[in-house]
Amino acid sequence: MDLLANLLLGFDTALTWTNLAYCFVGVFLGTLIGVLPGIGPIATMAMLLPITYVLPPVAALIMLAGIYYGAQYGGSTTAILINLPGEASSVVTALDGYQMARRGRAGAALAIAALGSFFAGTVATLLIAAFAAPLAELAFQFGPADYFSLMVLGLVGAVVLASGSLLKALAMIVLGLVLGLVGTDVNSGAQRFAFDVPELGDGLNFVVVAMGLFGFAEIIKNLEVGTHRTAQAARIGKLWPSREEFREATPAVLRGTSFGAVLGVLPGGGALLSAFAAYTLEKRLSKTPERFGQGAVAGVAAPESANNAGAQTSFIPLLTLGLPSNAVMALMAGAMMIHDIQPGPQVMTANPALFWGLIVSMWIGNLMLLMLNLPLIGLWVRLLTVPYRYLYPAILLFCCIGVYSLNNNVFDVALAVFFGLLGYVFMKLGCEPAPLLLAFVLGPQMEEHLRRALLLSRGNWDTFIDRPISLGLLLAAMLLLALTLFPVLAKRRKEAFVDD
Amino acid sequence: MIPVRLTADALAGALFALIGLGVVFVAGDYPAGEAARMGPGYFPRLLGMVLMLLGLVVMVMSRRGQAVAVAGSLSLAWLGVPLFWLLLASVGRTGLTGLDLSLAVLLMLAWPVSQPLFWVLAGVGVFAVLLEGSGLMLASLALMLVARRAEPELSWRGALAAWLVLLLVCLVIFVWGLGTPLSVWPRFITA
Repeated sequence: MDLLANLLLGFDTALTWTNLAYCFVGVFLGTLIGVLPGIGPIATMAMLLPITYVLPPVAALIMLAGIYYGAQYGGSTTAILINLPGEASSVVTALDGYQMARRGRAGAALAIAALGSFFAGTVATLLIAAFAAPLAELAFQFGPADYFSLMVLGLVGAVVLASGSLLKALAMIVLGLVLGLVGTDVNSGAQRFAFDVPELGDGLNFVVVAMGLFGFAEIIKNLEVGTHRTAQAARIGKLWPSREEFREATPAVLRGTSFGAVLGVLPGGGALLSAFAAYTLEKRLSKTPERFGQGAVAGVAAPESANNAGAQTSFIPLLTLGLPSNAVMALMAGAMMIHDIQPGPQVMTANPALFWGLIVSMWIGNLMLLMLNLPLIGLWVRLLTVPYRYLYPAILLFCCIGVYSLNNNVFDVALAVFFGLLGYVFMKLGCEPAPLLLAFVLGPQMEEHLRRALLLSRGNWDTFIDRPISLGLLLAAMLLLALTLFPVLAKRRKEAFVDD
Repeated sequence: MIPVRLTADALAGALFALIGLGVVFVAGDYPAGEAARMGPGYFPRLLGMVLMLLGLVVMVMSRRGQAVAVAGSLSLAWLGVPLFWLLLASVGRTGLTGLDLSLAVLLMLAWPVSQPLFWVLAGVGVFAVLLEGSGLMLASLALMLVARRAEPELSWRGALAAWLVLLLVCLVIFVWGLGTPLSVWPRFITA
């Protein structure tokens, strides 16, 4: 009955007018950027992060979370209607969704995507509510050595799921850890890598890093490639799916939800991986695999429910263990730290209203999306006709003001230019920036845990394999690394995992 | 001499190894302590060495398999990375002069690499330099006019119109709505 009491507390928090309003703003903006290709949830959240300074922490987190799962909805809308996935995670939806649209079943595809997502969101919310408490309980037994190993596992997981070279991704992680060192060392008070620049004494702000690596670099990439899109939307037709379509979609939604929920929890997992994996599974299980790519209902239902389930359950490791599992969660962790909340098991006990309020708000947000999305489809499609040449100056200006308002200091804006250049170089050299951002956020904690663990063991490194929890986590990390050496999985990794 | 093909992997490896070397070098000034009582230099040195090692392995591995060749001019861009830090270090404190200088060098390196890269970053840089003295209105105008060059299809009329709309949006959301302390007008008008 604890669960019920907790959920009630959550509803109590989430259903205040302010929080409802910010939830709405979040999912609305999320859908908006989900529809627009060329701007992803990471850049948007980084852009809005400074604004959340003035908000109460609950409202800030509710809004940011809304952007993430809202983007999943928005991305699928354009994927179905014009074969243009707004987000990486809806790439697979476009395969069958657009084919359905061409056969005049666009409305049904949209409805199935929305209903499947809503169902998945509901299940995922319940899962978070059920598993958060026991997991946090477990986390309280972690010593410094265990935490260190947990972070190693988290970072390795992020690498395994990154695209491209494993070695380069590992190097990006180490580079991220190094960037996390910049500033004042908490133990000795020594300035590290600050080069006598007073602004660097407090360390690099991760909004600056994220904005440069993701925001600016993305704009430059889009301008280089050229974005001449011809938005020719399919007619939406009847919204309600036929009985046959329902029958085909139901098991796919169930499988997609459970698959996505599990994959979302894994380090490095999230919406993107879930969608791809669910689609592959569905195709493999199907009696008529040749229909996939030709407008199979299951090919829309499964990845759509999986990406939403994955998007939500990826909050579990962040909220219970303090371990962000992908770049978006790293941003959430940053947002919590801005408000002096250290992500981890103590959030639930020290700040139950925030914790349960956030979780319940996700369910409410999903409900809003369901009601918001179908009637507003026309508006979203019209938005796509805004040419990118008017869009990118707007994104640039908002980014600049956002970065400036972090500390009201133009130094941060100039630093973002530097990271924009770095992001461009990484892009050209085929280095994925997401693991870097993750490591950057985890870096300071990782050093702290390493220090404490070795202080306790009097400098004996065996402590990492003597403690069973730590040993298990390290073994899991090794297993993940070993798996990538197998050709089958190596091939699958190539398929796509970009910005999650 | 081992011929290293100028591939993306070779460049990436070299970049990592160089940064790693720099990290080890800089962290050499910080007391390392020992494992049981780590000083501020212990972890950075460890990371620097791992980064160097990884960079070298990436470089060596890049000779096998097919890596994508990139334009040679890109090497100029990554040269800018250590150079930028050197500049920051030598200028010491970043008053407006230090900021101007580092940005200018950075952008000079970007120019031959890619036009969108240059104009987008130059726009942001100009904004950064102008914002505090000249206010949001002029800084955003400069941003628009510079960043416009990144996209040939954006005419100056279009950029001006977009600027007016965006300025209004920024004023409503940031200045009046959220109370972000931004100076709107140039300093010589408000003073």
